[in-house]
Amino acid sequence: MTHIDQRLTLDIADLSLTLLDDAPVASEWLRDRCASYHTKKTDAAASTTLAVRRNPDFVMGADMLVAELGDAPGSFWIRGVDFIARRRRCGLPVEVEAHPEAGMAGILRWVVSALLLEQGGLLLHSMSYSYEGSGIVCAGPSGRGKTTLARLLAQQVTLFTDETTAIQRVGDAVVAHATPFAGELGIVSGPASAMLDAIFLLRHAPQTQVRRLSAAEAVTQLLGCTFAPLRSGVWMNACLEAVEHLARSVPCYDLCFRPEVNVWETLQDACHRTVPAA
Amino acid sequence: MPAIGPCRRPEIAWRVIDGEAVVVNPRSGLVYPFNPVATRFWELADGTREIEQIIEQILEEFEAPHEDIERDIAEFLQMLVERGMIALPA
Repeated sequence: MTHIDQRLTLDIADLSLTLLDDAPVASEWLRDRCASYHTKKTDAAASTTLAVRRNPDFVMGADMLVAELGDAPGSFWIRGVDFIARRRRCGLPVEVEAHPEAGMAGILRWVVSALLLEQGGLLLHSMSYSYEGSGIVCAGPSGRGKTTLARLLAQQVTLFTDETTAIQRVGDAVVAHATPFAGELGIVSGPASAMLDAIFLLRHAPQTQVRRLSAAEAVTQLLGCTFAPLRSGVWMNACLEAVEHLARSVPCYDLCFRPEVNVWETLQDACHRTVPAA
Repeated sequence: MPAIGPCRRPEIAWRVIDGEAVVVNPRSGLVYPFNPVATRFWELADGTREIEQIIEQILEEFEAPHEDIERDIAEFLQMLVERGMIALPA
């Protein structure tokens, strides 16, 4: 089995991440799923290093992830089932202690979530795509139809992901980025991004219909789609701020949908006419 | 200074958006959207006001029968205390 070289740099959602981890479980994911995110850019100062130490005696944690943001700028602490990641402050490496079998995707997803949050961004449980230059995010917890929708729209759009979208603030605008964290569809599209023009909060229903959400409704629903440890008050407050900015910057819609091809027309219709805010 | 009335617990994450609070209880991980009256109660429950003062303030700001507001706030406060989101003065 191929191991990662000593140092590998990934570019995810404009975040440069340099990994130091030679565990087979890490190299497998990075080789098979994440290759398109490898980069040759070697600006060490601009890259966040993840130094992973594999510990065979790692004591596994509870199922629930615990995390907190620290007082120092850029500091955080994340305790997953099979890893602990911490950064003492901005500019320092993220130190990760992990079980030898801990997957790199799970670790990286939480670290990316923390790094995005520092910039007022987010990771969202969502499928996303671009169409004629517009970025569209369709968000929802597991079972709400992200993968179903991705399958239905795959022929019409440039699919970013069926599972995890990175959201970043760029001035007053919001950008949606593809990530390598794929869902059931198992397709990693490679790096891609677009200015975000609409967010749909998904749910299955007998009839397809769309309704514009108020900012408060959108925030309530979007919170359930974030990668945030709900039990962390400080992290959740930062997340609330980021979600409010998102809900105020981008029109958000409730999308009840029946899995059929005409959902595409409903999405296009909502994006091209002004559905009044609630 | 010790609280003289109901006081939001500091670990609760919340934000008022267009007059409606979205409140996250880290103990349960549940997200609560509050209506405008509940939001106003939540904002005023910072430990510096007795419950009667809060009710008076809300009565001044919202058009609703006194007894309805009093009953609704009593029920709401009980729910918040049971869920560990608000502390009552000792």
